[in-house]
Amino acid sequence: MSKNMVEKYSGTYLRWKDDIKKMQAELKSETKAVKKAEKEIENLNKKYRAEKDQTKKDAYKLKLDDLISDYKEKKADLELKNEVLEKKLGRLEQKEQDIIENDPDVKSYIEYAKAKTYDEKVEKDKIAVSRNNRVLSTLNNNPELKKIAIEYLEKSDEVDTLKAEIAKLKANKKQKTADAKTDEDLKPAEDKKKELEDKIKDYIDNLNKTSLRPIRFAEVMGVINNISMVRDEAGKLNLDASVEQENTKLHKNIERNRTLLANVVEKSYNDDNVVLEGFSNYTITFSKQAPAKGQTEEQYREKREAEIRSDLEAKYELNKPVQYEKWYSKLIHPIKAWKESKDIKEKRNALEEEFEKEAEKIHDEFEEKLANAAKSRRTVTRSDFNEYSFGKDSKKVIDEIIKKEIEAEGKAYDEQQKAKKPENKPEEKDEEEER
Amino acid sequence: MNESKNEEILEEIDFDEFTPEQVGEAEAELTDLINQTQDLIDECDEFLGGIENE
Repeated sequence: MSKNMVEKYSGTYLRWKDDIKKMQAELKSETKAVKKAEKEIENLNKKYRAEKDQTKKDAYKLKLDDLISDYKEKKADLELKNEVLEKKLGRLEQKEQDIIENDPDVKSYIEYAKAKTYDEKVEKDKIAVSRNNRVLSTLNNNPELKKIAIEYLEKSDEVDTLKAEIAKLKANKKQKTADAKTDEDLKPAEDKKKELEDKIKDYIDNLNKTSLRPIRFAEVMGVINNISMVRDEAGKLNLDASVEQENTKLHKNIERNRTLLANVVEKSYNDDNVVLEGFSNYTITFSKQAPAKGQTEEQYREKREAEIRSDLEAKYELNKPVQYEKWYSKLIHPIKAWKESKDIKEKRNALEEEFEKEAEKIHDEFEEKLANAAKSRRTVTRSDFNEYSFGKDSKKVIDEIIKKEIEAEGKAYDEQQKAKKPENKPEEKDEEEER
Repeated sequence: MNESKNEEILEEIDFDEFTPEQVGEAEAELTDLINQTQDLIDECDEFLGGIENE
């Protein structure tokens, strides 16, 4: 069977996965917009309350009303969006009911798929929180490293915007100082500066909040977004176990700081057996769980890789790449009622054989991919293996082909009968054969 | 938000082509998305309530 055929049938599902990802990303940016609007409203509200001049107060009020009205619109959009999503969920639930009505046995499997999806999500969040906590505790136990983290965060994009605003305010401040304005005029610049400092402090303080999602953590740390680049850099710099000795200029070098920080983060994330032992004078020392007695470094590494690999296999159930046996009985049953001639049976067997060969080939590719992932200790996600979930769909393909074959055969048979004018009763004969 | 865009995205998907397992997965994912959106709507309500009380 050609791979194209397999892809054609799993395409809809992959497209769905893409769409849901898009919708999740949209929700993320909507959440960001809502939070931004809340901040704006809060700030303006403070100003409005503090303002003594009635004319200015009125102007603030007008602006405030506008902002609140925009905010309400955002909320209304979200409600509308949820209505649409609810409708779609209704369609899916209907589909589920149809499937169950057709075959009650499938119910438990659907429930299993649902629970598995939830569990995976919960598990991911749990892992993220535990990783965040590990990194946080590393930072808290190492004031110098924490300082670097703060320095890094100061350079992150989000804070850059604030810094640009501060620069602008500073320029205004200079101008206003030159114009000999009052302290009151300088206040916005001071406030903004404090806001920036508080924001950075918040980033660090909030790292252990359980509500922190991985993506938020990535935003906070900045470095995780570039983790693959950092990994390459770390490799080039031979940073696997330690970095070079004290460099007094190091703390001024933001790129290097980023690498140092990323190295710590990556170690905390990816390898339970590596712990940060010390961090002083910009020297990071990691200790590695020692190889067992009589075990060489190479043997230890191989063992560790095998463990990672087996963890991944267990986590994503990848050790069962072709689970079609179970599915075969489910999918085939609608056409079981069809009478299968010897030719059709042969054709089915041939197709299944072909499918097995294809599955074996893809399984080999998969094995290689997994081995590489385990070797590089790259974080492997479920989507990496989407293409390997083809087994079920392939059976569907086989069934489609067989169905067409049966239809063609039936048609040919009918035509043959028409031409011949039946002398005996072929249906009864067929039934006897079946029995 | 563009309702028709959302409609469009999901309308295109033919759930009939889904296997039971995929239906289960999709239901779980969609429910999660709905819950998250609802959480955000609730937060909005809370914020508006706070502002209006002031």
